[in-house]
Amino acid sequence: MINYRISFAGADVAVQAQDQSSSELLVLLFHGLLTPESAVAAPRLSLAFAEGSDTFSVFEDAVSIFEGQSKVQCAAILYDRVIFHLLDETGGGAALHCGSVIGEDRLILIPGQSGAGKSTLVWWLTNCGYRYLTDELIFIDEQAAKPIEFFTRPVCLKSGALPLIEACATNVWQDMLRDRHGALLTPQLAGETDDNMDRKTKADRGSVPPHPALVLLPQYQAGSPLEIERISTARLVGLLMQCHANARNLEDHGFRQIVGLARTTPAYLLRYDSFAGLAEAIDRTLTISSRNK
Amino acid sequence: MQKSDTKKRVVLKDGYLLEEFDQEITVYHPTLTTSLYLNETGALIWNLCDGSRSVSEIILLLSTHYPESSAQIELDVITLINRLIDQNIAELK
Repeated sequence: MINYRISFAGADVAVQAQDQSSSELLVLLFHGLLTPESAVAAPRLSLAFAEGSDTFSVFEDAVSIFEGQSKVQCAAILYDRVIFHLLDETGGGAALHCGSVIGEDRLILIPGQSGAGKSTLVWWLTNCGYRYLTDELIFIDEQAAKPIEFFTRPVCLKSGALPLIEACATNVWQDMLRDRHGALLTPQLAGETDDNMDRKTKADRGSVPPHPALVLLPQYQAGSPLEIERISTARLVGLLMQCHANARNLEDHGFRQIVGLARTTPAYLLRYDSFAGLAEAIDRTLTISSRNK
Repeated sequence: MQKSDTKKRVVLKDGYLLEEFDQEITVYHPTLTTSLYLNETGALIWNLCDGSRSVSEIILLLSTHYPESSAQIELDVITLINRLIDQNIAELK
């Protein structure tokens, strides 16, 4: 048995690998957030691998919640449950379902509910030279020394996005897991590999601006021309509240923090149905928004 | 909303959070975890829902100020108030 603690935004969740294969998968998925622990009395999550059937099993509070051969599916379950338990413990700040990249030294937030296309857009922007931070979750606490924390993990692309990424030749990303259910990829920096630099180091590499310069809300619409529309602060607050992941823990559901973020950050709706011209349009938006700030 | 309902007063329920931005409003209801974005027109209607006015009085008041848009105003008022009722933010009394 190998015990770990996964930490994010001041919260922890205890996980246990029952064998070496399970431990390797946990390290792959949570590398920068994972700390080995001595014995844990009651791990919240436990992962086991059965060699005979080539099957992973996930247990939550000792109850089986997944059994299958797909590491991608297993990863999705683990991320979902780990994030749920972490958010249950967080307080004082607002967690948002949100991707994030850095371009031209400016921080871009890409919030969206599940299926909005956050991961695909983050994947593409990283292809185009933006620096990857997360495709899933951020934690905002303006009172903290680090006002925004990023849940850095491999980009998780669902099966529907696979034809899109397979059509784009890129050496920016390195496959970590891939099967018919989706893919997990990690950014590969020139001249450096995962052997000599872990993901957390990559995410920490260079400074991260303390405040976002831009919010982009992706809306993938088949057949839609590329459109970038500036949206009002009031509309942004409404949309961000829909992406709020730990509202239940906060006295006012984090409404005032979201209002504070929206009041200080220009926001745009991004409608697209292909990557053609997308990065250039976002580059221009970034330039315009910083000029108008 | 029935025709007879337009004579009833629009009463906003307690417990929502509200923030005004220029001429727009965002309303969030923590218990229901729903948010509502009101554009300039929506904010105007919202501000008239003070518990003393009926639906028809709100329509009349706005139509008097904006006679060229009276047909649209009636539609906007009824649509928004229906939405507020559906989201449990308002009730008719």
